[in-house]
Amino acid sequence: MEYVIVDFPESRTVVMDGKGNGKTNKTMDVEEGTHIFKLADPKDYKPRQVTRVIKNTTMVKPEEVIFEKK
Amino acid sequence: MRRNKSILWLSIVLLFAGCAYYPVNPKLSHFDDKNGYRFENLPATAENSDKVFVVLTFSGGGTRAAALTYSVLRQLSNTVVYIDGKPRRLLDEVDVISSVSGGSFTAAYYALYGDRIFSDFEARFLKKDIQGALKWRLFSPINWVRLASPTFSRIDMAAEYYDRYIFDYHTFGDLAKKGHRPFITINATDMSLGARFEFSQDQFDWLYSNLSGVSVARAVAASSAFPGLFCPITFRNHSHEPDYREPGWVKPALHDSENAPVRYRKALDVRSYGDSNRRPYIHLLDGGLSDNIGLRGTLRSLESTDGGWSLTQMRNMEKVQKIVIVTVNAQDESVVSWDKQKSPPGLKSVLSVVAFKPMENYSFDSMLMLKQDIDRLTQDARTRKDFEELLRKNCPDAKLPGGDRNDVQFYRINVSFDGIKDEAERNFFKSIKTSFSLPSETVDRLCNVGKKLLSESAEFQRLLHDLCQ
Repeated sequence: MEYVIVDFPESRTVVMDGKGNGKTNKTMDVEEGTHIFKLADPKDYKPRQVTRVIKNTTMVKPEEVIFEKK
Repeated sequence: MRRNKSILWLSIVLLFAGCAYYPVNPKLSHFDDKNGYRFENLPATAENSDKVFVVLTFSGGGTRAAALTYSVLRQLSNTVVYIDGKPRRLLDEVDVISSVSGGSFTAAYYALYGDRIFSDFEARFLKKDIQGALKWRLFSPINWVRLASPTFSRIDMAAEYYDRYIFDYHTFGDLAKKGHRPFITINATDMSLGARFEFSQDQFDWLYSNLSGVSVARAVAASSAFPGLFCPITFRNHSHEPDYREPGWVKPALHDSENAPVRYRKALDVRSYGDSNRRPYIHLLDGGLSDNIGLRGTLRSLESTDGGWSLTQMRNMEKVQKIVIVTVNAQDESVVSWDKQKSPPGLKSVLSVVAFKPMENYSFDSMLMLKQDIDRLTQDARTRKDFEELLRKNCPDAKLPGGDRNDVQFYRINVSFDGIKDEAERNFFKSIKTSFSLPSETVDRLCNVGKKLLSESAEFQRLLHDLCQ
């Protein structure tokens, strides 16, 4: 199991590989491998999506994916 | 004259034979990945919350498995727990049942009829000579003609029987209309891929087919089509229309041959259904060939968010507090005598080992993986807590990334004949042959032992303790 935090200034559903899969700013468990991250609507964030290979993380050092407000 | 008559009869027979065809699974009228029999269309309710998420996995093993799994359902119906201070039957908290072969009869019957299972399942299935009834149909001259058709085989005849006498012609559309849990995944094996094939709309999307038009009996027949006894059961893989959208995880997963080989292989499987020129038909065999305890889907859901239902996703969305996984495993163990003999075992013995031992080993591995997965998740949560404790003591201003984590408790409950303490009794149950015809007294004993095994399980007792506080 791998760990990811999606940073965003507010709480929002994280869409991973096309499905809601957790909340921003909270550690999510994900399967090792390539994943596409987005946020749920509204589309007031950038970048539009992030593709990242998730591996070699730990629960205390998760991968960080950063979105900003547009 | 006599020759002419014979030719006439032969022509009629061939005409009828040519007409016999298995029911074809319908093509989707349009693609909609929100419609149909999917877990997400059976939401949590006031009667069945997500807080306690209960998964049952039912193994194969003919009527032996059907009776053992039935007795577990009955014991769950007699067990009262407290959720948010309100009394509930534990059976009403069951969210998913994943089944194979014999266990699929119980799972499907409960999903269709609910509590009615406790009043008529014994008479309609468990204590009925299903095997004999199927054999009798072979003596009907009409069926000889039908079976001469290349598109109608004994498994199609068995599916017709299950449809008429057990499942009352119900379809997955009827299950979807019920709109409540448990969600059942009846598992078969894709003969070409050797991979698990589950009867959910998520899987039928890949065939561009509408599962709502497929009879539950046909799924159960596919799940229990043991090679040798039955031919594979065939489904049409319809060509994809332009509105088809493949699941969002497939494209990224195709980059994961090194990092996530299981995910990569699954993505290749999904793509293989997309090529309906190369695979216009999908042939399914007994689910036991790819997973004889119905556990593999649950294991994937613990590790991945890719499937139609995912325990990982539910933990990430902070929906669940307790995850209960009850594996009901009716695995038998034949008594062998060849180690007492000087001469090597014969071909029959060798073939039996070749057919069944890999399945047993695979089941053992699945159980081990479940233990390891839950141990790892529990240990990770404990490690994080220990870190937080250390930080609080030594560096009170520092915080771990990711905010507070919602701790999920796991309960892994195993119901199998290995739990029977008395050796003679254990051997009796393990030696019950895999058949769809068992003596009434044997069925009664199976029903009693299932209840006993569940209620005496230490993990089950821990769950009751935690849910009755």
